[in-house]
Order: sequence, then C-alpha cells, then structure tokens
Amino acid sequence: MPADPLQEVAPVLAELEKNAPDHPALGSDATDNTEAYAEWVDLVERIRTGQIDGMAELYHLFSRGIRFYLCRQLGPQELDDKVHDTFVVVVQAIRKGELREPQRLMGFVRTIVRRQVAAHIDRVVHSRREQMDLDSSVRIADPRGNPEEAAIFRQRVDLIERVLAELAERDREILTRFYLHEQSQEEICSEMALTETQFRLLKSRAKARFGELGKKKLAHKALHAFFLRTSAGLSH
Amino acid sequence: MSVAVLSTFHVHPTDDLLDEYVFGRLQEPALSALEDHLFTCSSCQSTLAELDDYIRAMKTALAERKPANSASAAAPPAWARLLGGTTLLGGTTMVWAIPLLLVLAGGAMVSWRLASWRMQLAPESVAATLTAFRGGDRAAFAHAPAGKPLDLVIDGTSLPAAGAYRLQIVDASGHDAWSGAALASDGKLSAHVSKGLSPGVYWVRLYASQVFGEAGLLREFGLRLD
Repeated sequence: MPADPLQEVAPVLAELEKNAPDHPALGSDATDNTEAYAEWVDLVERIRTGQIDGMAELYHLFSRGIRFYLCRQLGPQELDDKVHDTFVVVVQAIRKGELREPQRLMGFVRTIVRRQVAAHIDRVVHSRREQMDLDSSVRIADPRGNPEEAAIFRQRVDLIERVLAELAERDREILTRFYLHEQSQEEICSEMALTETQFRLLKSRAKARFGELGKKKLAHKALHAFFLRTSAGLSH
Repeated sequence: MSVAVLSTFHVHPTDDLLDEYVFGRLQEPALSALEDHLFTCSSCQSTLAELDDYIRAMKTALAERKPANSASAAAPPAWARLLGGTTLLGGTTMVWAIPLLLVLAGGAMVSWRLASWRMQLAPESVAATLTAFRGGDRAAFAHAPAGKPLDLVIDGTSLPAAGAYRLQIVDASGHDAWSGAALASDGKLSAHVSKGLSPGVYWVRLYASQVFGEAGLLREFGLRLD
C-alpha cells in the first residue's frame, strides 16, 4: 500500500477525466444479477491490488452517476472537484479494505457519496453561520442561471401556464396541492375525495399535455427557422 | 414497485416513484434501491433531470397564478347590485332574487358548519417566527411546542430573489425531519409543517428551490421544540 494513495490515484483520475467517453453504464443492460456481482468482485480486487484498469473501469461505471447525484444535491459549482474527491475517497476506502462484501459495491459507493454530500452541506452551513449578512466575500450563485437558461425556463413556465389554463379549477387545485404545497397523493385524495386513479390520471394528463405543447413549439420553431433560411437563400 | 424489483438493473422506476424521490418522501429501503439504480442508469438520470425541470416550472407557474376568483371577488355579487341598484328590472327581478338569497344563505350556513367540523378534527397549528442567528447564539432560537403542526414564518426582506423557496428541517444529528415548499407573500415566507415533531433542537434550512443543495442554501435558523 503506497504511503499516500492520493498521489497515486490523482494523476490517473486527471487522465480519465480528460479522456472520458460517454460510456454506457455497466450493468444497465445486464440481465443476470449474478454475472454483474461477479464482475464487481473482480473489479474490487483489481482496485484493491492497485491495477490502473480497475480504477478506469470504476470511473467509467460510476462517474456519470456520481456527477449527476452531486450536481443535483450540491449544484454545478466546482462539480469536477467534488466528483474527483468522491472518487478518491471510494478508491482509498476500497484499497484500505473497508468494502468487506465486494458484491455490495453499488451500496458502498452510494453511502460514500451521501456522506460527502452531508459533510459538504454541513461545512457550508457552519461557515455561513458566521456570516449572516451577505458581503463581497460570500458568493451565492444566482439561482436563475445564465440568461439562456433563464429564457428556456421561462418558456417552460409559459407552456405550463397554458396547460393550467385549459384545466378545471378543481384540477388546478389538485396540481397546486401536489406540486406547490407538496402534499402527498394520500393527503390530496383524502381531502378532496379522489381515487388514486383519478389523481394519477390528472397528473399524467397535465404532463402529457405539457409534452405535446413543447413538441409543437419546437416543430414551429424548426419550421420558422427553415422558412427564414429558405427566404434568405432566395434573396441572394 | 418493490425494492427487489428496483434493485434489478434493467427495471426502471415509474414516474410516480420519481415524484416521491424528488419531493423527498421516499423512505428506506426503496430510497437506496432507487439511488443505486440511478447511479448506473443514464436513461433514468435523464428522466429525473427532465422531471426536476418540469416540477420547477410547475411550481413557478402555480405560484405566479392568481387565485381564480380574485377579480370577481372584488366586485359585489350581481344579486346585491340588482337588489340595491336604482335601475332595477322591476318586479321580475325582485321575485327571483329572494329565493336566490335564501339558497345562498343556506349554502353559507352549510359551508360554515363543514369548516367548523374540519377545524375540530385538525390539530391546532402553532406559529413560529424564525430568525437567522450569528455564531450559535441560542437566544435567537425560535421556540414551539413539540408534537404539534407548525406554521413557520420568515422575514423575506433581505433574501435574494428566487423563483421558489424550499425549507428543510434537520434534527441535531443532521437527519432529515421534514421538507417542503415555503410560500412568499407580503415580504414573508411561510410554510406549514403538518406533522408534529419530537422535542429537541432542529435546524431549519432555507433553499432557493430551483437549485436545491449547496448553491441554493440561503439561510439557516434554529428551532427548539419543547
């Protein structure tokens, strides 16, 4: 075992991140759990013995999922660093023998990722407790994102408003309870005398209508762009 | 969908299950099984990302929407104008206005009785105003009785603008006790915690809910339930 595993793992990580292809998730097409678990046992052994191809395979298997989870929980800021740190912790833990059952590799990675998220939020909360007022040294990302993202978001909101305008008042109340007030399906059905089927039907109908309007809008934009290009071509 | 089915790689979670996950209502062991699946299924990651966007947009659209009857509620009902106005249609109007009044009065009485009955069944909520504190000043903790629903109120005047806000209550060990939307109105944020919490110290975290997690964390408040 090297004196500082981080020194050995970090250059490998940098190389992997530079060349990472869009790798299909291992196991997503697996039809036999036994085969997948056997692959994991072999993979864990290769990582434990310091084989670079093992770390590469672990990275390809989990990097996208870890990145997705961390982005969702902690936001996009410094995401590469967070993924990198998490991956290092996972590899170090495996090489220290902390994963006693290799077939539980998935749960092991999940546990480590959750701990990383909790530790990160605790660090942020502790540091902000000392800074109640926002000052120039404290930066909080604008939740609206960049102008393009804000415009796309606004379009989505406008589409949903069109969907809501087509619904009856009672249906709008149901959606308001579920999405805005975050009541559970059971609470809503109980308070509004709905069956589960009625509730789910309304929810899926609204989402489907949103999808239809979105596709129409995209098709309209594509046609509009096509006619613009066509007329521009004719003018030459 | 059972946990055993979820743990099989090629079976994907339903939209309903993903809804529960997004709203933080999914419990163990289903939660771990779903997250294990999401780690390696890029298709479900995309589905979840689309669902996140849809829910954010839905929250914003619903929050922006004015109450359906706000315009008509400001104006007096038509029957009041007819009875009180000088340009009456004559005897014909007065004849049907009186039975209409009786029906409306009867309906109002029934609604009031139903509302009273519902109030008797529901435990009374307790209001708690949250104040951001500096450096662990326990005197700034809000106090409320344990075991009762809570109506949390936050002064929103110094908060950054956001499309929507979300509150998370964690206990002293950092475990999630409750989470839900915080509604903005008249410069304040409010949230109703329907379930009673056990006695103890809690931290109430306010997020800008379009970006849940670290980048969306705006404030933390102390809450003691006795």
